Amino acid sequence: MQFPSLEYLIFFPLAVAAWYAAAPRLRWAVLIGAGAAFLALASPTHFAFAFVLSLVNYFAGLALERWAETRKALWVLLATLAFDVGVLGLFKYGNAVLAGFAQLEALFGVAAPPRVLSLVLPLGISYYSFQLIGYLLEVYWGRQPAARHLGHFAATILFFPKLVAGPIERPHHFLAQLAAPKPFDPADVTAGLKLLGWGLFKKCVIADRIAFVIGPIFGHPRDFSGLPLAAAIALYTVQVYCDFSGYTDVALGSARVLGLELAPNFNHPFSARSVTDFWRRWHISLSSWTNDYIYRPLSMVISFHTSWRRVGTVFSILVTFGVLGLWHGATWNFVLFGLLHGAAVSVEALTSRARTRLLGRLPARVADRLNNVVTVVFYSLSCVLFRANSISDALYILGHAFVGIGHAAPIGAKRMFGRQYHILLLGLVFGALVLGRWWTRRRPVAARPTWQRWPVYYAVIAAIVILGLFQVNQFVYVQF
Amino acid sequence: MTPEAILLEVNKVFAEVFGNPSITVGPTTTAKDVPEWDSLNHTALIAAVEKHFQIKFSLREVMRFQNVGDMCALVRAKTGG
Repeated sequence: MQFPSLEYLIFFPLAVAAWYAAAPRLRWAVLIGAGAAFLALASPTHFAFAFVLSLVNYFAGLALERWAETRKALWVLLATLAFDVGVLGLFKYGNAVLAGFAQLEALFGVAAPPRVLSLVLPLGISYYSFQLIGYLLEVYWGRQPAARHLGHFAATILFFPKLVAGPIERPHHFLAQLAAPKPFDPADVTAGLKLLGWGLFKKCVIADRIAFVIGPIFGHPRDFSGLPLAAAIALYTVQVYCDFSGYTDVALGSARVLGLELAPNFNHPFSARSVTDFWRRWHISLSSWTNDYIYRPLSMVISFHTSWRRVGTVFSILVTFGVLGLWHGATWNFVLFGLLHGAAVSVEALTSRARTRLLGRLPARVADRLNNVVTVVFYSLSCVLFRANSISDALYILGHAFVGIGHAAPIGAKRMFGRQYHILLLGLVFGALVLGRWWTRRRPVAARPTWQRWPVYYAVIAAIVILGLFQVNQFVYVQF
Repeated sequence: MTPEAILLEVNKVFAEVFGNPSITVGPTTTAKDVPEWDSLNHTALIAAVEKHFQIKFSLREVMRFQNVGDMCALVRAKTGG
């Protein structure tokens, strides 16, 4: 089920009504039912996977706590991690591994028929399997107790707003909220609906229209050069932000209507002053997960057993970002994307004192602005790997985007025909947003009187209904 | 060593690792309270504490640290204080 869809428009109010109608101690059952319906509408097997993985990890958590500090706990941890990673790996990377073997066989002249697994990736598995792995490690390290209530645990994993594209919630944060559900508060409902509306605006009015405009450029980059490619790179950065932060706003807003709080995923990422800082602000639930459960333990183990502190740090960063890239999908584009960011973070870690000394000679505002521009440009350029259909396409785009003013070749211009209206509309929307930002720089909309506030809300709703593109693209991050 | 003496020594390690002599940490201090204390510096900090007190931590012990107080308590237990 997509968020901007008729199904969700019917499903969500029903789920909210059932949640508040149920006795607080039974509300977990409503969440399991809603999660089951949400997944089963796509296919009952999606629900079966999520439920079975929840069950296995629930019992593993209890065993880890029971056998804490013993060898048995380590075996339970390793076996359950192998199961979780194995299921995720089989469905997400199985065919890529088989294709790799086939290439290897071809290299040695072994003729074998092509092997392809006909597997459908269970919806949301990339997100909930990481939540489960984080939960296991928290219990194993003794930082959090094991969940006692199976219903609460399953409801935590099956909570529908975050099922298919996160945030990658820390189960203990959510379990505590389920143990003591908040009573109905109209303030939660209005705050949640505002966030939900804003998320839909970003997704349907901005992200999907940009996707429509730049689709032909990324689809056939060799028909373009210069400015159209540079504009497509810049617009894709805006698209991916509006798409994913829009999705997150809908997820957080839906949860808030139920009086529940999900982990934030964004904190003004484009104000970051380094790539390291960027990853503390972008897809926070994933970057903090990889930091806590890959980087920290790996760098610690290397530090305990070797004296290679700097090499260990760089190696751990590269592994962490390699996994972060690979998490998005089994393509070299994503691996390179991750490694590129890992390399940037490593360089920043190794040169932090020298950079501080060097930039200390500049006025603070200038140094901050410079760092910010470099970071945003780096991210935008790396996004080409994220969006391009192949590495060769990505290299073409990066190599031809900044060569002269450029042009759209006749065939390229033909591909863009009919999109002028959408480009104009995007310009108007961006103009309105810049004006809105100027208008609210001293006093946000929420703090303004009713006669100023409500026209803004109606304008956003009208923009979604009139200007929104529905069912054009699924959310970028749902495919992961 | 008394808890206060251990905290004082740990404070010296923090100042040295982060290159900030004016740094002051307490039992409830967490990484959020010290701008220089990020996950990249955390490994160096743990290694420096181990070296300073001539002790060894396990991964499980380090992953359980929630604040400076947790670290000091373990240092005290390991140094027989």
